[in-house]
Amino acid sequence: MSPLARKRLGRVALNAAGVAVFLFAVFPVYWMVATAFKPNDQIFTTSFIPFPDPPSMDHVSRVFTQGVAGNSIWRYLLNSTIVALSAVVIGAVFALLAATAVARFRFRFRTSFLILLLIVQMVPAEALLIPLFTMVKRLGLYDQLLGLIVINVGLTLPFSVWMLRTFVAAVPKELEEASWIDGAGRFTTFWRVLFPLVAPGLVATSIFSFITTWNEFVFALTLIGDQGKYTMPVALQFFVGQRSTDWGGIMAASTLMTIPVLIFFLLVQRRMVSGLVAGAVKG
Amino acid sequence: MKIVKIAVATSVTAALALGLAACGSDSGTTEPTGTPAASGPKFAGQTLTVWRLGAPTDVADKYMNDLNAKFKEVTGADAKVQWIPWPDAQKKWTAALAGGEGPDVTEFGNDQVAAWVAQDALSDITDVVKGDSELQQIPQNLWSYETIDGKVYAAPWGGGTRAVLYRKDWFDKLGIQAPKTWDELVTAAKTIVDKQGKDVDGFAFNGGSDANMSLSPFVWSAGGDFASFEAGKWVGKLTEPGFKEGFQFYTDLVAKDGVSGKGRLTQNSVDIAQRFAAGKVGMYVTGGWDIAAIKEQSKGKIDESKMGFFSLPNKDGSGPAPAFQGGNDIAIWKDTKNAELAAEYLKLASGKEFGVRYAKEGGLLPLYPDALTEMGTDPAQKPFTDTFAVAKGFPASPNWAEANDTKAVLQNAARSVIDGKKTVDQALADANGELETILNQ
Amino acid sequence: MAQTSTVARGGGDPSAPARRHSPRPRRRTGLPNWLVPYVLLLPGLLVIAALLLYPLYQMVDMSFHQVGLRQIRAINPTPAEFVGLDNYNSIFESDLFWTSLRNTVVFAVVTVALTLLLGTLVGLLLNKLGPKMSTFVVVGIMAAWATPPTAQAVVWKWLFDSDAGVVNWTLNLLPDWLSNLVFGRSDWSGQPWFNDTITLYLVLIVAVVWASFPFIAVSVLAGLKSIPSELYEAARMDGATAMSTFRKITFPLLKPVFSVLVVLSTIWDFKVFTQLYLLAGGTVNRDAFNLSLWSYAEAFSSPPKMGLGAAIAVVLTGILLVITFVYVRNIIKTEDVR
Repeated sequence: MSPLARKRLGRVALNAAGVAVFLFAVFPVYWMVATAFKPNDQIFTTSFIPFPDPPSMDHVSRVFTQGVAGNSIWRYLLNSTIVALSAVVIGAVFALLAATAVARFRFRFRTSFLILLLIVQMVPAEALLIPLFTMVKRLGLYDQLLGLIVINVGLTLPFSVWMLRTFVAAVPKELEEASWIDGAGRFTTFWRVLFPLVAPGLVATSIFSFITTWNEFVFALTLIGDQGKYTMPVALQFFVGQRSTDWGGIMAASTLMTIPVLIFFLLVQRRMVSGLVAGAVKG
Repeated sequence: MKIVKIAVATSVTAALALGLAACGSDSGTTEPTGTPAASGPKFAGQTLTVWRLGAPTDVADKYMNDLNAKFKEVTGADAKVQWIPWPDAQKKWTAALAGGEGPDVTEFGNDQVAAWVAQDALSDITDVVKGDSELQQIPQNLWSYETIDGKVYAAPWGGGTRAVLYRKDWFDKLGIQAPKTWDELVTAAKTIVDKQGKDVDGFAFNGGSDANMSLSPFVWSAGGDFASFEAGKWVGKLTEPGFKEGFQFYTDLVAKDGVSGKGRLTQNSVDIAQRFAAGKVGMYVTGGWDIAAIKEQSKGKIDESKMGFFSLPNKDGSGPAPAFQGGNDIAIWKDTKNAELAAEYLKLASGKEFGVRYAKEGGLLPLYPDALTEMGTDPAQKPFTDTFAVAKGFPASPNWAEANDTKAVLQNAARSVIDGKKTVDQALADANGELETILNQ
Repeated sequence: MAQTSTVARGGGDPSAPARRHSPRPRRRTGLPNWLVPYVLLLPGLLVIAALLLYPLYQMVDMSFHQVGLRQIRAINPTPAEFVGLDNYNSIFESDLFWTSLRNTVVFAVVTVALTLLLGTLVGLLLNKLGPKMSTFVVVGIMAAWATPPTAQAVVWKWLFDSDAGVVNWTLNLLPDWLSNLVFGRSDWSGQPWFNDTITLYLVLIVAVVWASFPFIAVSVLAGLKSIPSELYEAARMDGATAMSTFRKITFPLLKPVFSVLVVLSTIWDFKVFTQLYLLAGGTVNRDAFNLSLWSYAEAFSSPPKMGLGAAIAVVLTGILLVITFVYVRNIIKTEDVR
């Protein structure tokens, strides 16, 4: 086989593997979307129905027109977006600072801090519910989106710091030293040299924080009193009744809830794959 | 640089919020306690928080608006409604108790009242109830869940009960009449098994999470009961003759009469409903909501014309057997800062006008006898209203839930009898000991 | 001009101007070097201390007391009775401890291994694919990751449904000889997956791997992107094979990322809750408990035993600490002396 043909064959195999991964990942998602478009008798059935036949807009239009718990579905999406975006931005800044500290400096309590970050992640979040609730209450943040933002920063921060410090550590120190020698200040060095190189890692951790925050349920339920301030995961629970559950509605709302995450991802992922990184290293 | 500015702005805001809030500045929405105008109603300017469970439908929204408008008219105070999703109510109440950020008035499932009273979460409203002539019209047998140690902690708001759902088309085809005695019930079930096939349950045995709702009518009909509260502790009654008779009949449905499959001893009413929808069940004990669910699950093959309800009969045919009394309550949260106003709200909501409306519009049974009688003129509702008039509750102990489904005491006893591992006497004696331990822990 | 420098510094250290009273920083010479890391840590540390450390302390404290709702209430609480190690004793005496521990550990080991394997392979694949194909696949796996946990659990429950599920339907499509050879049976109609603890956990493993491999893949991809491409070019010039390139370049450079991923995945899979809760149908099926579901069941189902629930959570944390001990020791040994 000629090298060219082998190369082409390799490309085909790679693409085929890509398609297989895509199918495995997407099939259950497809099932969620398909269910959103199935009339009820096709959801509760004893036979296998691959496509909604005929598709029904019942659930989707119900979710949009009737809303949930007296508010339009957009309200919950907006609340979720506010909470998730704020938590991600604040969390990213705090995490990057802390990660730089642990990856670039030696100081007392550094090891203790790292171990601490690990331990707090080991505790089941449900076990912290009551103490955290009292804490938020004491901070005067009950029934406010700000309270949820702060909580989510707290819940995702240990992970982000832990993850980011490896990315910061991977940046050769010489690059920064060169910048220092060029007469740049601390901040300039940080912003011009370190930040671009850590960007892919920052994006990966931000996506993680975004999804965690976006799906967070227990605190969103308990820390909010007014249903106008509930987030999407809580709104989803309203489809579960005392004796029956509106699965079509849940799937329609879940589909709706998945879309903003994909949008967020498409917005930030370019930073991860852009030539920025390679360019910076070369330069 | 735009991003930097945003980042700076947000993080500074967050830091400020944390810092400031930690200093104890409470930015919560405390309503100003308005001084009532000299001529205005007593509570003008005050606000109550009311928790309702579930998602508000248009009907429920209108009901709450009407109720709150009336409340404003009578007391001058506002009521703010907050809706809580059903599956999460437990967490919400727990957090409310821990944080002191609870409601003033809340809706409750009546079987949850005892557990929350044990946690000191609900106000004693005995005086409120006894002093209200409308609430006194609700029959005494409907206050069993709400009364603990002689004190009342909640008012029944709407009721529910269970009856026997049966295949009307099979009954017509096989010439079976709705059973009036236990013997007729067994005969009917046997006929169904004979004619419809051996894999069909003539009368489906429920041994799953809600088994006691199916077992209890037989026990109560025979004059037995689960336990009673005597001299400060719970005493198990499982070994008394009445209970034994009902229990024996219930297990015999499988063991002796063979009208329910031996391989399905742990199915609950949801599982049975699915088999019913697949045409494999003739009769079983459930609530009115299953008709719609089954129609949906069977894709309309089994619709209203093929289903009907009858009240489970007493053994000797003397009317309907007592069945489990379910339903929702309204209660005053112990931590309320305005108990007097909350009591006004409770009296108005569960009073005759709004109490009956709550029940009817929510698909429940009204608690006021004349409204219940009126509802019974609808043949579809009659089996329920008949049964409800003699309905009873399970032991009002906070630990009942543990015996009922977590440890599944009677389900295990029934299984051991049917499997032939224990005699009825032995199984019930063991179960009685276990039940007493759980209830008195 | 001090104003400008504050704002400029703000990007690097946003919270410091608002909270600290250290000498006004001037460029380069402003902050003493020893102070810099503490300033950088401050905002994060504040949040963690307030929102995680203090609650953590309360949880440990709770585990030595008998705590119900009466004790935790904000208004007129009853003092909690100190019971010493009673809660811990009742954990270790309970049969549930051993079954939940077994479920927790076996599940975590299998799931971590599968997730990392699949995630790394997909990450490498994404790096090899052309830009269009890569974006296509990444968006696909992102959709899996982004699906709300409730929807995830419900969809997998349906896919494995005994009557209408795709899985049984597909297994029935297999040629009988193959099915008999691999599984020893050919008829899958009505196979119930959720009655038995083992098959229930099998479904749980599939669902959790499916939901968590995208994160590994994306992290590995991010790590690969930050490896200078010159290194690979040099390797190619030397005629290195794909395998040896991975062993000599990719793996060593990604090693820190991998070790983080291993530890974090272990921690998460040890604590898996939402999916199990939904697949097992709540807290009724005691055989299927893992430690976090057990802790939750004790703390929140009636009657609430919060002290016992907290004690189980403490035990879970302790076990995780023991398991990650080697890793933690490495941090202390290697990183601190660098």
